[in-house]
Amino acid sequence: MTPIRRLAAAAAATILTSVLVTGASATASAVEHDGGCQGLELCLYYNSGQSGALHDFRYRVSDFAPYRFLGSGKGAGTPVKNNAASAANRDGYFTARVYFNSGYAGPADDVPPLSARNLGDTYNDNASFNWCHQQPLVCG
Amino acid sequence: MTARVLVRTAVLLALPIAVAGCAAAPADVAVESSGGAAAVAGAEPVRPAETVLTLPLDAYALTAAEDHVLARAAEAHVRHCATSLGLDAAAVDPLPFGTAAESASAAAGRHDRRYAVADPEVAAAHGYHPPSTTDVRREFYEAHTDAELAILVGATADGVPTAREGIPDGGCLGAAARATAVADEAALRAGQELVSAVQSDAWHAALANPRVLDAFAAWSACMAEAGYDYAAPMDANDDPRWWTSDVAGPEEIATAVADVACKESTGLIAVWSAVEAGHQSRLIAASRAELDAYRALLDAQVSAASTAR
Repeated sequence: MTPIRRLAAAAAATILTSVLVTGASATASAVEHDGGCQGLELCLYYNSGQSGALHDFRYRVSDFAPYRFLGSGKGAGTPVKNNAASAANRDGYFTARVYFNSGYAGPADDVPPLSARNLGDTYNDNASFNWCHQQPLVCG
Repeated sequence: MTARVLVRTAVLLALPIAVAGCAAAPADVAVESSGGAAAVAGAEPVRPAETVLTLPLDAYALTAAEDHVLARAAEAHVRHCATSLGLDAAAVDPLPFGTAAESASAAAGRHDRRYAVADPEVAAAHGYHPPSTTDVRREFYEAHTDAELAILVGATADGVPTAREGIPDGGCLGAAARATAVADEAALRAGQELVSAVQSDAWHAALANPRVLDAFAAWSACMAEAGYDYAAPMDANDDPRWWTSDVAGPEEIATAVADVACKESTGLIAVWSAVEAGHQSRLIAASRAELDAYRALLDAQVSAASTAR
């Protein structure tokens, strides 16, 4: 069996876990949506150069509409959707792909593992994001 | 179920490449797929190779074959690193590296949703939502114990960096990424950002182009005849009513079906992608030297990975 198939098989075995995790918020110490940019998260910032208020995401988001920038920095309280200027990916392996449109549609900006950048296509036009393997660049 | 969807997506997207002349791909897929996936693939229509959209900037991305060479090199590096840190060889898997067929399907499907839903069958089944795919990252993290993750990514599943001595930064996956990067990382990132800037400028130029705006108007008139009021295609995709749920409801599906029919009858995607390609070519020409230098870095990376094994 190839690695991705093993991965898929392993996933089948963890569907119950996934359902439980989906149904309840994460209990881990690096909690998403807490305004701190921590390990394994994609953080979107209101201003360029990773400045201003941020929102931290652990899992993919098909539409940013429900989320607002957190904390007290510039832009706090503003909707994340279509208002992010920069991003930081704190995951060591997975690429975060930020899309122009909802549901992972339209052009996209890639934020490579452990990197930060100003958004290009999706500067103030960020609607959704997904995590992708690097080789091949397959997004979930 | 999750696994089948992943395999199904790979199989479906791999087919055009197979048709285009990669004789090994279908056999590879058929042998490796589960019975369920093979049955699903048989029921799906084969997308003709000519419908796979390519854009000029694709020349500055890795091809499927190049991607696969880098994946094999990185995977070998991770296995060696992890076992040398004491991880049992069997505990290394699953790793997030794909087969040649999966690299091919990823490359072929690169632009599938660039202009939102474009396939009538996808629209009829999923509306504007992407066909269900597995959350590849969640799978990876949930398939490993914290002790395994400490070695593989240098952090536990809650994102806390490992305190264990002797583990490279970012774990073995991080070390493998650095080992297969060869080029100076800052130069690679600068190249990626240039490609991204060209793509962004071309996308926005196309959105303001009179031919594209005329095509949007024709599409909008077609949608109005079907009873839907949208000025531009992405407004239909981004209708907030669709995105409060993970699955499409009947109204969304009806709208998406009408949308794809209007895209087809007005030739929207052909016009839009041609204009965008024109803008990309013009912008590529303006940054030719920098882009070619970036392409040379990618080539060096692939060549080093091919000879390292």
